[in-house]
Amino acid sequence: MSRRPARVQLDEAAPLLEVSGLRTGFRRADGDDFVAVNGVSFTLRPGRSLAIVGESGSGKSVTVRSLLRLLPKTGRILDGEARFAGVDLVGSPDKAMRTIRGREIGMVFQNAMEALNPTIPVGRQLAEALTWHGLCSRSEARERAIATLADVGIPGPERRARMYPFQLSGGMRQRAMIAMAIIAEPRLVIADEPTTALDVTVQAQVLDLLAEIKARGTGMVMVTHDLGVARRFCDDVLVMNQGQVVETGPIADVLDSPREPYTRMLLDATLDVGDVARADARPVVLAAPAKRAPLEGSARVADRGTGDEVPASPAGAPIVVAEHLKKSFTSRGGTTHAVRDVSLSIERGRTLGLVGESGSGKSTVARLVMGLHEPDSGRVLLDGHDVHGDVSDVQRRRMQMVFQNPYGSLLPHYTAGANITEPLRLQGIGTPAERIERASELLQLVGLSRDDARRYPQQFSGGQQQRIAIARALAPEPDVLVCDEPTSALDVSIQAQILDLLSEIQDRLGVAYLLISHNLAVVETMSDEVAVMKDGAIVERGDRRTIFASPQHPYTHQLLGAILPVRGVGATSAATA
Amino acid sequence: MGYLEFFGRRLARVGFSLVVISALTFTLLQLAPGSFADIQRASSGSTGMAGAAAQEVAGQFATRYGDDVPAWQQYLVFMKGALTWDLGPSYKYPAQSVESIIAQGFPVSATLAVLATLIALAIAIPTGVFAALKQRTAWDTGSMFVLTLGHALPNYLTAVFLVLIFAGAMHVLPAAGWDGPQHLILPVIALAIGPLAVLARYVRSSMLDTLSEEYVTAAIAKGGRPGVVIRKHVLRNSLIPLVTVTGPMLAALMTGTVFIETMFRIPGLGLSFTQAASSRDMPLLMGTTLFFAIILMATNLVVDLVYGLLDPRVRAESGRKLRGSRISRKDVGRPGAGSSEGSRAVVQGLG
Amino acid sequence: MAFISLWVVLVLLLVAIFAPLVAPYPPQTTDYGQQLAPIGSPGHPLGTDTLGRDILSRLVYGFRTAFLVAFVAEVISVVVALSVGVVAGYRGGRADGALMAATDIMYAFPTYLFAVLLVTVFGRNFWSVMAAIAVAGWVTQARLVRAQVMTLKKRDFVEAAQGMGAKGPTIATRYILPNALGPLLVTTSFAVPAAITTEAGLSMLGLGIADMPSWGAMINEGVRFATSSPHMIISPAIAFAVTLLAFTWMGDGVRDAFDITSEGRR
Repeated sequence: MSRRPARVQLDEAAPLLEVSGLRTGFRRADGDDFVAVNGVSFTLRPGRSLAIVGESGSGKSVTVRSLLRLLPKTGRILDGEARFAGVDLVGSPDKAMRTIRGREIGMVFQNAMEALNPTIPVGRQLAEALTWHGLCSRSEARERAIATLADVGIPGPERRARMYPFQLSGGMRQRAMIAMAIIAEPRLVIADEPTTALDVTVQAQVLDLLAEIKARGTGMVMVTHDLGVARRFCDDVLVMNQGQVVETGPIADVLDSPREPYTRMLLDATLDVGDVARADARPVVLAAPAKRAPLEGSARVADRGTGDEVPASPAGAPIVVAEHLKKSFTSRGGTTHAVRDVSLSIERGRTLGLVGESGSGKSTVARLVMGLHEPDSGRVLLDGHDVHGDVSDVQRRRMQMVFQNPYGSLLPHYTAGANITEPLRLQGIGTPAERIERASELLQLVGLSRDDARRYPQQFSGGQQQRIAIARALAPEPDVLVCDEPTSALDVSIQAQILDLLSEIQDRLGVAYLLISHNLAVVETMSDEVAVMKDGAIVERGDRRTIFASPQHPYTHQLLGAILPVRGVGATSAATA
Repeated sequence: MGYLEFFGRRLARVGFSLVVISALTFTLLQLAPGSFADIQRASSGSTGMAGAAAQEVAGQFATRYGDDVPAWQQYLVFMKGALTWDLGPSYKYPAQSVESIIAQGFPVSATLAVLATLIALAIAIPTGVFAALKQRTAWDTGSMFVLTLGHALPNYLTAVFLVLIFAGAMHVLPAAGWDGPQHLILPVIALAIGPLAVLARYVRSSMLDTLSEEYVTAAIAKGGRPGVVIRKHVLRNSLIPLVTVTGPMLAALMTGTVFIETMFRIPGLGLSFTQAASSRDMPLLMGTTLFFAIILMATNLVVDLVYGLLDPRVRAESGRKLRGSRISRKDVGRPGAGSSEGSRAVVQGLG
Repeated sequence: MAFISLWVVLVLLLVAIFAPLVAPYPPQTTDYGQQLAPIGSPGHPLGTDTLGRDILSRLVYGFRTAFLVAFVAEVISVVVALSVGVVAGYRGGRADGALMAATDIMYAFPTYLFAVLLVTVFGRNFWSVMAAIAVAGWVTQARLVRAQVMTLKKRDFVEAAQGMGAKGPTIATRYILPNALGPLLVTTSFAVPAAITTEAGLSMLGLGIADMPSWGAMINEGVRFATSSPHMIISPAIAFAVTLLAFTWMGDGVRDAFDITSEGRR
């Protein structure tokens, strides 16, 4: 079957990758082109690695997909040049491109579960990358697939090669996909958000693997939205915004002394673990978001950033207490103990950050506290009333929730205004006119305008939707907000705005937060107290500063150790202290 | 562990359904005015059977079921007969037993159904694949438009047009009857067109789904030629779910040739069933109904098992909710984090 | 296409409603001097059948029958499907088990078979034909509603509503139901032509409504004379095909209008 395609003539002296004025567009329904990539230029020398960073919609992913001409049918390269070791990537015939794809340039995708064919064993998918290029025989390819799986640190490679993707763990799948990208020993690896779908501890392992491949002299282009990943991993960086290059240069230079306002904004919006600690150490708050003057009556609320110096809130008694919560889910697959034994308490006007990786049970805790799930045992008290028992509707509404996915949590067939007034309507609070007035106030409180009340959720951006969700949660004047990953679905600049908004609301209204997040930096920025969850149990808890400065539990150590700080080397000290 | 247990569970459900169906049908027929045996006498009289013959059949019937036996006992007698493949005499054709009528009619219906399914598959798969690869071109919209016509019209109406053209106007094929292969052509085509349209549309959308999968992009990124990528990664995965549609379709055809059989006067099981219904031949009605149900359920069972064998994901989780489940492919990944811009559409370079 | 179809359907509906005004003769009137008159005969634009009945009039009344049966059957089956589907999908448990069992059983009957049984038992009248179509139709639609409700139930806004203090019935009717209606409307718009087909099919087998004109009966008679007097079948067949296509394309239009992807991604 294998005609042996001739290897393209590569120019060893030329840069590994040379892109100039690349423009890529997508044909829209109206016939015009939407230009996703607008004049991108960069050069990559052999053995170097480049990070392309930007927020969603910046065109970073389209840029690298253009290089391999992996665009959807509606997309095409409008103009510009791209050369790989002297070979034209834009104008070469498809046949020549095929000899480059996989053999000279390997590609790592974001989600291995989607990028591996579910019905073909992993080993066979790896071997294809060799046999398709006629690099070796079928049996040799099999051997090399197993060897490469071993190479990327997959234990029992012989057995795993026969497995289907869904039978591997998330981290192992990602390794298998990386193995598929490097099996033909390409000179360049393009990685498109290779660790975004992974937990921090797994991310650390996968990045180590990529670093090892890079150390062998393979050039690398990595697309990422995570500046920390870029800093740890890459030599150079290219910052993109709205299809254009904002700034480029050696990574330390760009991240430590950005020249462009956009880069600076991106860096300011990015949270690092340790920012707050450093801010605490200085007399003036720098890193914490700017705040408006607190409203009257909210002065008692501890100020964020320097909060620990302020004595505990005079109210004293905790508003929410959860005692020995247990919850397991039974399906035919067996019983999962989602929450094993969790106790926590939240004081009035303060924030408890609950941090953990996926599957740690933190979201289940949020739902138990909210009363959305019945616990198997244990109880939740809201100001002394059992949430699962004798609580009245009036007391019940004092606790509200903000979800990860803002669009999903809003009623799609209601306007923003109707969404916000719905809890009031349900509780029979106020007249219709009063409710509409309240919705207007709340919209303004969360930074939207009165007129937005008439629009439907899908007409807003993700950040705006989350603002509406927050406004709705605030409508019944709750004392407690349970926020389940409130910013995980958002870009960093939006995340910063939403976190700002939440801090401001706490300052003005004295609401207590239970903040659930996998992001340690978010938890550090927002919390007064922190609890670390693993496998359904809290392994460590205490005030924020203690947890981040001197963690006791090995798992907390591991989590903090996996953090990739964006700012200078000093930032790591918090994690290693 | 799961596979055998799963099989057992499904089998038990099929058994349970069959009992309910037979009881339901039996009860329905009981609801009709007069007792089971009375109807037989009355209706056989009305279809013009000679008085003596009717008496004789009624007698046979009474001996089999007992004249004044309660309904549930009659049901038990019937079920015992069903289990031992001894369904007693038909009422309208007293010389024949119900099981022999089924045994004669079913091969005819099955021939029609199998031929129609084969033709439908043979045309639908290439059409659907081609339409998907040429998405949004004249080929795609054109073929899909023609298929809509075939899909919108019931097979008996298609048959009318076929008869008008090939028998009425051109005189090349017989308009009705069952006597040699030329009598097969029009009925089989009429039967095949509807399923063909459904299958082709299904193949097309399944192909488009698969083509937009990231693993297809990944296969191209590995350097695969379009033909190889389509053969190894796209076709297999988009045709596996076809089993779930084709199986029931074949079963429906085997039992659903009734209009075509009536129209072309083909002595299949469908014709027997219709005649049993209009002449109220209860034993035959009960027998054919149960037989149809068995065929349908057996096919569904086989489909589930075959699907399990073809898709490793299903095989692995066979114990769990298999029925009707096409494993959701987009169940992973944190929404929104990072970006996968432009990856959700069909990748070019496969045309 | 969908737009033209909509107009065709509207015209057809008017014809069905005002059948006595549109049709030149009552459908059963026989004209013994004019048997098997060809198309274009004076007074009989589409000719007459073997009994001398005016084919145009029978077509008009036949559509009235089909539409009446289909409409009533669909209304009943949608109402039943909605209530059963929402309860089964939202509550789960025993209600859901019962629906699934009913589905299993109904799926073991070929559609027309159950219809034939019902008509055999309850006679060839309007109600049993209508019931036969409704009974065959509601299960599929109830399953669709159930699946839709089960998907919607997992959406965050249901949890959000629970968090706001909404109770089960409110959630089911105010939040879930409106979002489940789109797909149901789509299937219903395809179910109407299917119901018309079933009605005609039954009468083609000689099991239709006994004293009402039907397209199925016309086709059944016509096919026997297909080679000798093709005019008897040509106009019913074409009218039938046009009607079904109009309904189908209108359904396509409805589906496209609702195809805003339930994923909720913009």
